[in-house]
Amino acid sequence: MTNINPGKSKMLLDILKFRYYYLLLLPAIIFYIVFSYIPMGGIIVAFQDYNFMKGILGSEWVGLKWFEMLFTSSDFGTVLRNTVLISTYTILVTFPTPIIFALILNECRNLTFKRTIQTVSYLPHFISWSIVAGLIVTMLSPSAGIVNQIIKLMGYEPIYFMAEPQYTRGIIVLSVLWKELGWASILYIAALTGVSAELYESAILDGANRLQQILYISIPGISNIIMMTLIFAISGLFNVGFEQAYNLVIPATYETGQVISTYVYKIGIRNMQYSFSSAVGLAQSFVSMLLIIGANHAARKFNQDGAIW
Amino acid sequence: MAKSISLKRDGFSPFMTLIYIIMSLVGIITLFPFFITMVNSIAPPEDFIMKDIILWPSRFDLSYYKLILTSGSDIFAAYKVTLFVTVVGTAVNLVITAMTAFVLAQKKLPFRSQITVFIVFTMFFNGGMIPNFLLVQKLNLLNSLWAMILPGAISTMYMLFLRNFFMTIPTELYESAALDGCSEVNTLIRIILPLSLPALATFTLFYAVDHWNDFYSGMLYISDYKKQPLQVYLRQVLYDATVRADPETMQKLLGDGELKYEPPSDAMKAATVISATLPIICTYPFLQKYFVKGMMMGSLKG
Repeated sequence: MTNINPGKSKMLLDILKFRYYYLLLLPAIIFYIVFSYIPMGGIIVAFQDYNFMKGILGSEWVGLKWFEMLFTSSDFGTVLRNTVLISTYTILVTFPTPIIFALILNECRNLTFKRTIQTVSYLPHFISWSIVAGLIVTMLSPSAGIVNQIIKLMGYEPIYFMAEPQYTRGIIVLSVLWKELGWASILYIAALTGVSAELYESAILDGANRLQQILYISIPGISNIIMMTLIFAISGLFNVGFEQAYNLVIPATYETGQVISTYVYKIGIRNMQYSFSSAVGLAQSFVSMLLIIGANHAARKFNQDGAIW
Repeated sequence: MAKSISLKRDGFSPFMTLIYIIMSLVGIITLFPFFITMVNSIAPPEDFIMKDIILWPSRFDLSYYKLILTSGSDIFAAYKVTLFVTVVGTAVNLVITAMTAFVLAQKKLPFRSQITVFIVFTMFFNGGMIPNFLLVQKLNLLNSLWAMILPGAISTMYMLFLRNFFMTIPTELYESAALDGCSEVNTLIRIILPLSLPALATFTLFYAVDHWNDFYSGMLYISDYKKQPLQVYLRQVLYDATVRADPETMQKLLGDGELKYEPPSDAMKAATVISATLPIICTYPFLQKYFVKGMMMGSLKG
């Protein structure tokens, strides 16, 4: 013991003192190594010709072959286009609506009513995408769906919405709106209740009407949060969630509804082209990461507290 | 003066009426899909043939539920899988999350910040779909129910929230317990956890709902249709032409005259959707205050 310097032996003693804590931590450490860090290392299959028998360590290296293939593949062009279009439409529709919803709800003076609407509006957030798809398929069914029953009552032919490519993007965007409107408004509603009542009172004294109060007091009061949400919404530009796309798109509507995440699933898991699909996934993560870093940079510029790191 | 101002803000006006109408419409549009699917799932077959539009069933008919919820049916098997994954998965989640959060809440733990960075790093970088799949394949977990539990054993975000909560508990409370010879595990079980019951309830709900709604891991790791979870089964049924019913029950219902016609596939699908949704809808009114509390604890994933 004499040859260990005092600082080091104190640390060893500390570690010894905390040994049971480390033991409690062990399952989590194993979990993160196995299920997070090993898959991170597994990204190298994107640069290999992965073969299940040879494994990651034995498979042949092919450099950037799959990435070159990616940019020449016509499938990928369609998938990229769908992804960017669907997420752009989604941002355009689902970014402003929760703000408007929160602003209008904030005007309601009847607290019971306000709370009921809030509670109801959060509900769809807790429903899975397959159930959302189930509700949509039921309503849009060409035989018994309520929408087509109305179309038929008006004397038109029923439309099989789920199988017609021109409706796919609209269905995806509107279902995101329906599902997340209430939940996305929570932060705005909370921020609006924090806006001082005195501001409104003095505005009323100055003769401001309801619309002017919203424009000059409510909106500036939540502008920070609006900005942050916008920046992070834009950082998701190359990402349409797997679950929503997989549940709302069928082969008949691939041309307008197949996005990167469902494409990776199809060629990777179904067709077992592990290396090519990893390359697609990696390219997407890379662009998403750049967008997140850029968004975070912008957020920090805009407001110190808004950045995530 | 102040009173007259508040009266003016509360008073009746066309503007306020419009606001209440718009908000009521949002509420109705949110609930309508559940309502109409429910109606489709209890309307008798003759309604589907006779009526131009079904807004209310001519009689309540539960035969579709009888057809899909019998013990031999596919949805029954999927239900069992999802129940197992939800119960066991949430238990695993809670044990590991509480242990990890407890240790990381110890301000004096050597290497605490390094370990935290090691964990938080995984929130920003991950291998993605295919490397995760290859790992689960190598671990021989494909088509095992554990593939829907182990890869998600901890949610880093929930763990960090719980750690933050644990850190608000004054350290004197358990330091004196340690002096009295209380072990670390005992401290966690006897002192920390009882003080954290509301927080634990919140995270139990988060984890349970995540498992119940889990589609992704079932889709990725389970190809054996007998082991499909509810959400994956549902996706498959939606775009199928017919929903497979237990033939024996079908014969019985048709023979008894309870069903006058073969059940329409739209009604069968609607009944399947409602069967998968009902547990969430029924518990939601009681749970939602916890969810909102959790959301406020640190703005959860959107």
